[in-house]
Amino acid sequence: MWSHLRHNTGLIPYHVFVHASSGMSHAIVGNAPLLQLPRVTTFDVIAARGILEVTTDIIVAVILLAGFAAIGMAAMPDDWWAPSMALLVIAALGCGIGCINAVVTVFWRSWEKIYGQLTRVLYFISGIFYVPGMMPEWAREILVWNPLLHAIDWFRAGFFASYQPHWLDQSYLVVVAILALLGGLALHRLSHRKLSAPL
Amino acid sequence: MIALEGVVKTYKTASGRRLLLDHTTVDFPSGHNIGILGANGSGKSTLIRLLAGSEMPDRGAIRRDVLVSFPLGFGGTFHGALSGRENVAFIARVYGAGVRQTTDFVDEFAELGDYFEMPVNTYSAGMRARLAFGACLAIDFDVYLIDEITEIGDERFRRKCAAAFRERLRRSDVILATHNHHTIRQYCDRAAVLAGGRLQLFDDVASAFQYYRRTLAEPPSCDSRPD
Repeated sequence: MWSHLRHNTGLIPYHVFVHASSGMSHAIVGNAPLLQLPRVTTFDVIAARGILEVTTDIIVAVILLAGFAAIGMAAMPDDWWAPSMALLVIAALGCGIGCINAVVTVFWRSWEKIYGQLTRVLYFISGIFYVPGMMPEWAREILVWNPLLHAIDWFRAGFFASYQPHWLDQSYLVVVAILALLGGLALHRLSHRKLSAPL
Repeated sequence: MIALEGVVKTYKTASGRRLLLDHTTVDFPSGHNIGILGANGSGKSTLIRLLAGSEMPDRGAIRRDVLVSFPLGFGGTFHGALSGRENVAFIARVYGAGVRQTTDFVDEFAELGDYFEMPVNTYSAGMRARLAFGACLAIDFDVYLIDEITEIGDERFRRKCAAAFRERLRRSDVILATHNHHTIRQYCDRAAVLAGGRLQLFDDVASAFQYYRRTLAEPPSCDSRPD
């Protein structure tokens, strides 16, 4: 297994998730002047930030992998379906958590800083450079509760035909992503009257 | 018409919840220019933002069957890192107005010169107000919502604003929150008084002033708060 590709296949889904969920935290509190325009709603700024972060990261991923390919390093997936689906689902999870973060940050400003620290922990427990196959069994059994680990291994499995981890559970990731999206939208719906803070 | 239906609006302050509007049902009819009187901290600015739809009531609903402007006040709706032109172009797109035509109008009207191409961060308060006023006038709103911002710029610019505004008021209405008696008498044919959680609309400006003086004579129920 090419080690640069092993690392990068971990970083790409990680960044899609972290950039979407952290970037969206600031969506409402950072756009107070924009929200003075009545036609711009809090949902608009949250969704716009999510689309911006996900699109940017996907373009960066394509450039990164194309760059590796251009200098003759292995960078093309064996199977396009798995990485594409993995990115789609992790983007949905990131946007769901991001929507929750955007609302929570309005009521508790420290939350975005705390969340930023939590994502650093995620870096170490999501199997980016320390792939789950290298972990002791007991550690992996705990860490498979982390949905990001599934997204990363799902993405990675598309690049290495020989890498088919038995702990990978796509349906778990999909369910968590749907719950996060529904949770984020519900939280926004329930609190949207209070979200338009004055300048 | 803009109609408030059972609107409740509260604010959290250090000393607890403050009630700005208590189950208020009022119609702001079309065809009238309406002044809003209220002491400092009575919630005039918030009322303007509620009428615009920039802020939501805690309870109740606000219905509008006309195109209502964004609140024109000191807060501003601009992004500091974008130039005046970019900000105006954005507002034009939001309201579906022609971008070129809108930016050309504001460029000419606001007299910002080279500053029109500079980030709004670099503007003085007066320049921001001119930009906001220009952007608001460039779009054909049915009702203009104005919060304490009629005295901008030097004497000449003020006259220009007043003339442009008067011209626009032949087709549009204004709802104006201000302390300035002269401004209200100058522009408004009706007035409302906001005090102690109640909003009272009068059919003529004189009775509104009378009522307003009475509310001021009473001791204020809460500490005043900058709006």
